[in-house]
Parts: sequence; C-alpha cells; structure tokens
Amino acid sequence: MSILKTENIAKHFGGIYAIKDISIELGRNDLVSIIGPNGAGKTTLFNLISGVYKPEHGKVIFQDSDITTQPPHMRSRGGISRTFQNIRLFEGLSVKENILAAMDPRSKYNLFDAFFLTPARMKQDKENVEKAHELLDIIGLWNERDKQPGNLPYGLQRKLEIARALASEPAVLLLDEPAAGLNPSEVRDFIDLIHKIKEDFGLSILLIEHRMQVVMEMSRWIYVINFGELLAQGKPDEIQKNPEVIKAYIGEEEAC
Amino acid sequence: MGLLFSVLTFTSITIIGVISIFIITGLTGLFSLGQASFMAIGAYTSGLLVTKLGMPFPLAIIISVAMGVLFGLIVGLPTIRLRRDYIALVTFGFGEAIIAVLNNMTSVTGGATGMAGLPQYTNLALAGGSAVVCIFMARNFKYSRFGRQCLALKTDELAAKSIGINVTRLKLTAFLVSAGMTAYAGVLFGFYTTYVDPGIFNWTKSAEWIIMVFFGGIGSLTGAIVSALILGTLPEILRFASEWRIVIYSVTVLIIINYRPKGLLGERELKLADIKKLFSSWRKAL
Repeated sequence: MSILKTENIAKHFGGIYAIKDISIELGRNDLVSIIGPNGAGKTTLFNLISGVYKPEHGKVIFQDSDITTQPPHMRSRGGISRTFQNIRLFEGLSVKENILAAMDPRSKYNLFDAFFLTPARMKQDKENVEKAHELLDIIGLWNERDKQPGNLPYGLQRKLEIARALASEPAVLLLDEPAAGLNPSEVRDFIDLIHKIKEDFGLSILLIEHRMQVVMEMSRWIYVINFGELLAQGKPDEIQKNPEVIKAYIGEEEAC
Repeated sequence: MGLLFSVLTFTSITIIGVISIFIITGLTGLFSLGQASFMAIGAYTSGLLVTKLGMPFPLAIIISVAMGVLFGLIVGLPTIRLRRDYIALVTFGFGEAIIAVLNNMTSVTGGATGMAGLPQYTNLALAGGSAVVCIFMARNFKYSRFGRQCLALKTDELAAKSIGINVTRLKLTAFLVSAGMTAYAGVLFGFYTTYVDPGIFNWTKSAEWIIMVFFGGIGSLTGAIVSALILGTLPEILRFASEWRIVIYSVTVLIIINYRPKGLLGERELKLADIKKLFSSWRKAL
C-alpha cells in the first residue's frame, strides 16, 4: 500500500529535461531514498512532489488522490512536509516561533480573535506553545528555544528544519540532504533521531542523501537517478553491487 | 496649550498611519507607496457622508473604514500575487490616481480647492484613545498566528508555503488590515482639521510613514511608535528654526539610517523593564 507515488512525472527547463518520466513509490511508515550524482534531478523531483513546480506531464498521487495541480500550501496542509537542501529557516522569528509558525496555518481563530485576545485565541495559542515545547524537547532544541535560528550551529539548524517540518503534522516527510555538512558523530546522532521520529510520529520518509552510510543503513528501498532518468532501483545491498550505479557514480575504467 | 494639544492630536493620527505601514511593511515586507490615499478615502468618504448626507459620525466612521478595505481589495486582489517591487509601483500608481480623481471630481469633492466645513468631531481624547487601541491591536496581531506567518513569509516565501501558509491570502489580509486602519486615520484627520484637499495625501505622506517605520526599526512595533513620536513632533519643536527644520529633520533621519541601519530598535521591542531601567539610570546620574 503506497501513501505517495509519482506516475511518469516529467519536468523540463527550456529544452532540457530535469526529470523524465519518473515513477517512484513510498509505502506507509516506509523509508525510501533517492540517490544520484549532483544535478541528477533529485531536488527537482522533491519540488514536483511538494508543488513548487508543476510537471509537464505525469501525476503525483498522495493517499489515493491526485494532487498534481494542488498549490504547495495545500499539500503541506494535506500532510506532505519537507526540508530544504540549503537551510531555509525564518530569521526574525525565534527557534520556538519557527515551530509555532508551522502550526499556525492550522490554528482555528480568526482576525477578530487575534486583535482582541479572545478566549478562543488564548486557548489555541497556549495549546500550540505546549505542543511546540514537546517537539523542541524531542528534537533536542529545548535550550535553544529563544535564540535566533541564524545563531545556531549548523547541525542544530538542520534539526530545527526537521522540527519545523514535523510541526505541520505530516504523514510524509521529504528530507533533502539532511545530513549534509554534519560531522561523523552528528551523523550517528542524526540517524538515531530519524529512526525515532519515524516510529514516534508514524511517518513515511522520502530521503535524498549523499552519505552512503545514512542511505545504506536506513533505506528499505533505493531509487538511483541520473540525468533526470531512473537508472536503477532496489534494496540497499543490490544497489551497492549494481554495475550501472557504480558507473554513474565513479565512471568506467576506460574513461580513466 | 492649544498648540501642544494639536501637535499631540496630529502625532496620534500619524501613529495610526505608521502602525498600518508597520503591519504591511514591517511584518509582511511589502511596500505600499500609496498608503496615504487610503487616508484620503477615509477623510473624503466620512466628510461627504456627514456634510452632504447628515449621517451621524460613528456610522460614517464604519462606512469609511469599510470603504478603505473595499478599495484595498480592488487594488490588492489583482496585484498581491506580483513581486514585491511591482506591488510598490502599483500602489504608488493607485495612490496618485486617487489624488487625481479627487482633484477632478470638483462637483463632489471640491477639487483642488479642497473640502471645507467639516465639523470638528476629533479631539485629543478621541485621537489619542484611537492610537492606543490601534497599538493594542497591532501588538496582538504581531504575536498572533497572523503576525508570525507574516514574518515567516517576509523572510522566505518558499519555506512559508512549504509549511502550509497561504502566502497570497495572508498578504492580502495584512494589506486590507492596514488599508482599513489608514482610512480610520483619515477620518480622524479630516474631522480635526475640518478641511482637506487632495494634495495632503500624495505619495510623500506614504513615504514619510515608511521612513518612520525604518527609523524606528523595521521589525519593531514600539520602534515605530517611538519614531512616530520623535519624527512627528520634531518639525513642530523645531518651528523656531524656520526653514532649517526640514534640514535638521532630514539629517536626523540620515544619521540614524547611517549608524543604525536596522533603525533605532532593530527587531527588538521596547519592554516596560527597559523603560524602568532607563529611568533608574537617569536618577542615578542626577
């Protein structure tokens, strides 16, 4: 049973296909990785799934409904959350407010409540703050809650992006190179964190990652993309032995 | 005493205008160079309703604010999806168009000679009280789900969309809130001066408010208020310096922008404790 899939999805910029007829599938409480050389189209695929781009053709199916034409904010509200390869946190909001902002689109009070501090607003905001505190605690950002995100070390900024994505209560989490720039001990810590949130929140995770340690250890299934096309797919140990994949990554012997 | 009251009344009205800019520019990151035209809409609508139709003042206020929001919707709906710099241009054009219409509809508005004979319903208590209410509302807005989402989309629209923020709709909401607020400032203004002409509400007025928001600190509500207090009263305090006062005013603005590019307070908010600290350090110094 898949929760998210793409069917022959394609996107080109000018005359060049960034993504060409790619079909992938993610199951419930599953962890699937997408790997491939730089510029292969991995992030473009994420942008198609999260609605930043509209595909030339093909479909995005989420929980059995076609969301190909839905705008990004509706997909987020429907249950698809993502992080970004280059961290995109909200400067000017504290760590805690970054998380609250991700809960706010689903808060129920209106403008009048906001202006005049009605009980409805106070109650909703109080609940959200409690939830945000819980989340900060789980992710390990409690001590940083009142800091500006720009002042956090890189590893914690990555964590905050994940926490913010979780705050919008997703069913599917798209992680775009979440371990990039982390040192080896942080990577270990990160793998444990992803396992934990996957089980605690019952998430299905789609992962783009360059660190083979992370990909091989965590994935149930791997898709390999090269030049916008699906090169191979399979279990981690199959992918490691696949000659096509090795060729794409380190080139052929004759080429040396 | 009369002069002091009048300066304070005008400053209160300015504070309301500056707060409306704070919501649209400080929180949401959009520039409205036609903001003062919403003030014109408020002043003229209420003025005409009261003088020509004999409508009671409170009802005229409500209709004028609604009128401001309606015009905000007319400009906002088609333009709010545009890039930020285009929004600045479109609002500028809209503002000047409103002035042109008011100038040329002589039979209704009195044209360039203005509209006179409004009763003086606004006094310091009403203007000051309104400013306090507007400050209260803007503060609550900033720390509500709306304010947080506005600040979020101001820094990063793509990330804002990815967490479920309806960017277009939220921008429009902020724009309409500020339009309504400015229209109300216009009502107060018209019924204080008892006379308005279109030239008062041209783009320099909007620019003046934007300068005040930047002067005080772009993300700071208290900064905007302090700045409106200083820059709003400065020209009056400097009246003895006659033609030099504009120079002094401009130099003050330049010095602040030069040495504190983020404005007086930056993104910080002045808290009661800060003011107490300031007072106690003064007392020690004395």
